Amino acid sequence: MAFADDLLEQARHLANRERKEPRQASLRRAVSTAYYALFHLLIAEATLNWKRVEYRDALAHVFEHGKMKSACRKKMGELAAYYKTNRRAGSELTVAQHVYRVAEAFVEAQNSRHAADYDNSRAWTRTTVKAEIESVADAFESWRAIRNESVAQAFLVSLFGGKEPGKEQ
Amino acid sequence: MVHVRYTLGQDWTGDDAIFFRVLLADRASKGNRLFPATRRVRDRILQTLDPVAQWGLLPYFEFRSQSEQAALKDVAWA
Repeated sequence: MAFADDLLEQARHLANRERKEPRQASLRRAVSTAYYALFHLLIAEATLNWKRVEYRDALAHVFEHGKMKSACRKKMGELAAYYKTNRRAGSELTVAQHVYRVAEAFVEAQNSRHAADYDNSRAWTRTTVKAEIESVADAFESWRAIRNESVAQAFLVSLFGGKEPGKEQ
Repeated sequence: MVHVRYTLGQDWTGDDAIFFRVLLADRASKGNRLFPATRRVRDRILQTLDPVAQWGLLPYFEFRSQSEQAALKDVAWA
């Protein structure tokens, strides 16, 4: 099982660790772990394209949380505009919907992770946390449905923080 | 879904955002029902309001069950 999948499984484990009254520590670590599951999935997929395997870990360090979020936000905006003019069902729309779900889940999971790690005033509930984890799990499924599509690969490149291939800045 | 509350603000990077707090019936928040329920609510709200395209607001969702809210008595969720 890949590292990202292990993290997702661990997030679920933490969310269910206490049977009755979940500890805030378990819930907050679950939220953080779910975000890192998606973060590492996307990075692993991006670096997989690097031919020299021995440099993939070094390449992974280039990714930055803020730049990845900005790229996701930009993609969500583009796709929201695209939906307005392209409502016809088809493979292109399906791929776009999957990309949107990945970008949306990433943005949301990152914000939750920040709150989970740094905001001591927030009370987490198991429902909140499980919904977050399942949103990430859904993003995993969406990603795996489209990972070989050009649109998906261009999205990965955009996560570096530069211009997406084929797009004007 | 029991009700939805929202707050306008900024997310952790300073982007303008709308934070939805969705109270779910206990039945909808259990086991395999949770994710389909949250997806339906999320999709309905996004299709109706489209906050990204309409106002440039990033949407964030938080879900809670009725029994959790009853225990917490959180006024922001009432």
